[in-house]
Amino acid sequence: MWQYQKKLQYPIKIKQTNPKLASLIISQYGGPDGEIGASLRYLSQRYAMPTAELKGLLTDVGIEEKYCAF
Amino acid sequence: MEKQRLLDAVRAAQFAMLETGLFLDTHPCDKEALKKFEIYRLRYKELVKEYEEEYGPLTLSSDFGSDGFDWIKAPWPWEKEAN
Repeated sequence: MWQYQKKLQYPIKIKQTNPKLASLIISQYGGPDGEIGASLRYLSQRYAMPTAELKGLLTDVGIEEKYCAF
Repeated sequence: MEKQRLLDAVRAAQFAMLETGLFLDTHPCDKEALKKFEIYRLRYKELVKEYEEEYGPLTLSSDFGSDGFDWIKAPWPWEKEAN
């Protein structure tokens, strides 16, 4: 289970807006092979892992993908 | 410390802790990494406390939420004012 932290992982300061670039970035998060999809796959597959190390790894990497997206 | 600089320090400390944590997932007995993890973990918690004491809560369960319900009122992370 997760707890929301009301901050971004890195600060964002947009100097010049660029809708085409924004669209590309969004597709990297939610589109095919996007970060969100990867995150859900890792978090779903950790249940099938045989060792504690692998369960931990898939959990932490899955969560890391979420940081990227949100 | 100035708000954004302190928040950047929180972010950096958190990153160091998380990355060391990831390393420990595949090297759980690495003594060096365990030492560093503890240092980064404590520093992160210290910085969060410093930030929240002055600028308000980062999580809903924070000990430093005020009666004005800062949690909702403070700028949301995707807004300009929060960066």
